[in-house]
Amino acid sequence: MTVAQIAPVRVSAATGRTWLGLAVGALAALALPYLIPTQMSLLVTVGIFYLACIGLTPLIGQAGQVSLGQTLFMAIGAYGAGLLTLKWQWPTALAAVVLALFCGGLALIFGAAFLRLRGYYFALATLGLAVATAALSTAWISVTGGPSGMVDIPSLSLFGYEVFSDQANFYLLVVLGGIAAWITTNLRTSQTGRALAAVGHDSVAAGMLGINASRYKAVAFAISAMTASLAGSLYAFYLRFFSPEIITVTVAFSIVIMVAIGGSRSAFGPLIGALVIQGVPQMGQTFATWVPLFAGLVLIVVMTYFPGGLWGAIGDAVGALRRPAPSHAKEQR
Amino acid sequence: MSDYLQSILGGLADGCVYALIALGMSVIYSISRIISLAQGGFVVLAALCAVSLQSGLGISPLATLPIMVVIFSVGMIGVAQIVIQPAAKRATPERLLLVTVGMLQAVGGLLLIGWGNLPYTMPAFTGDAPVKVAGLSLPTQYFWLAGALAVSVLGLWLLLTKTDIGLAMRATASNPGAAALQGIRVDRMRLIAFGLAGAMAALAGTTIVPITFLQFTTVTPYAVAGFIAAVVGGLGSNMGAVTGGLLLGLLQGVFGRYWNADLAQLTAIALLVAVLVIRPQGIFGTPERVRR
Repeated sequence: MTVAQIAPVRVSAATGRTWLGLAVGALAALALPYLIPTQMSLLVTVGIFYLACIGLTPLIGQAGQVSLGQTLFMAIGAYGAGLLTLKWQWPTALAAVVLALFCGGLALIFGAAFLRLRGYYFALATLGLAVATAALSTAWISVTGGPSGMVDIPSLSLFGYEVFSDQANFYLLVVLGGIAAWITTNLRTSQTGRALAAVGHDSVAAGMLGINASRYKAVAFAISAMTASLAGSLYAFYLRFFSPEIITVTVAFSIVIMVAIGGSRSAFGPLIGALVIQGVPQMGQTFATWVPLFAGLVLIVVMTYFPGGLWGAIGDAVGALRRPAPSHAKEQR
Repeated sequence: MSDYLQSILGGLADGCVYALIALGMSVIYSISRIISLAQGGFVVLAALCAVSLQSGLGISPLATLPIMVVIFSVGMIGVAQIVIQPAAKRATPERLLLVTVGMLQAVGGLLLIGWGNLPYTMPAFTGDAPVKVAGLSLPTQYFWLAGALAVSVLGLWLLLTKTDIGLAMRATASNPGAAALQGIRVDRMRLIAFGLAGAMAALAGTTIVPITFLQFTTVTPYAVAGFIAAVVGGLGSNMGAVTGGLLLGLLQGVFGRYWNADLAQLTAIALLVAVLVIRPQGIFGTPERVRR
């Protein structure tokens, strides 16, 4: 295995083109509510799931660990936000931040227990968390309101301004999603990201280089937990309601599917994944019925033939067009 | 007391299904190192196919069993050939796991399109009158479930230990490279493993559906329960898979007396995950496979 294969890291240079791309993206985000005003609730949902997905990318894309437990942290973020603001009258923004930090800490504890084990076992343990979340949110009626859900959750209020409309929520999510994308991109190209990539490829070899594999993986897990908690809080503030149906095990799967379909090694990939998985069911009842089959088949094809996800595949295709050099080395088994 | 035994027996009936799912996963894992989460989905698919066959064509419930077993063992070989083999040649283990998540999702999607979001059941194989033993009322279907598990375990054991194919399969499991050098067609052995798993999925689905209701949302709980049973028993150990499955069903049955079904399942799973923290290789597993 050559060094080039180990490093999925593209050295980022803040070139003029990058800035141009960012400016175009920001303008597009500003204009979207005016271009498709009827689709605002879809855009907000996509934004929320993007937040839940983007935090997973260091863990899945770099460390090669699949966490199926995002719904646990979403649930803590959502139900926690409801409880703190309704029962103890906490300010909404404070509740969201404190819960995100709490979830980060919780993930460090879970990570210490689960991440000593090899890939499959971590996936199993986090799947257990997802199952537990679905069961508890239904059964623990005194806290969560049971199957009928938690109602009357307040909207987020930020610096005295109430984030209530779809449009306000969307802009807030664009900002937060942008920050999360910026942080994870920096993380990917930093020493931490390279250490994670080394751990993902061969944790024994990484250990010999002095990298504490389980600590790095636990940090990546904590990051995923924090964005998931934030996504959950914002979802609850946006819907002003939360119920077990929002965090079923199927949703836990579909978050990972969004990351995998889009590609876990870029900030843009999960956006494609979230748009596809959340957007297609909006096209009508018939489409909604076909989505699980469609998502499953796309996941199979993407995982088999396009390890970088759809965004990675597009990037490869563009790269191949630009310089018709001999194709890059095959993916190592 | 007999109430208590009754719920234990009910739990064990579910446990037989978990054991069959886990056994299928275990056979696939030991030969190809792939965890097939989709196994839980195929159980429900087989069950609903049997229901449709029974109600649509008027075939007796018992007669659907051999039909489903044949269709699903052949079908699984096809699925393995089309989906799993290409993925196994290219993908890392983590991506392979996601491929099987995709299969599970796709099977669920197929069920949603074909059968809608409705629960299905069908008549028991041999009449609805339960057998009374010492104050316990045992639906005859329990015996069919226990029989399906026993036949699978015994058949698998005979195949693996008494036949040449079994020898070749065990060689593939223990060292695929060396097995290939001996002239064993490793890919073909893997296909056989998937065929066996398909047969077990058909056995489990067709036999459980008369005493429960299944629908497309049942896919994930079955996959999770089977996966947990397989891991707790020790991945790749067939004895372990059966023990893990029966244990999970038993715990669920016992806890189900005190709490609602959701909490009972949660407690059973929490207990078994706790077992894994103490003994990561599972009850019958070997340690070097787990830790790095």
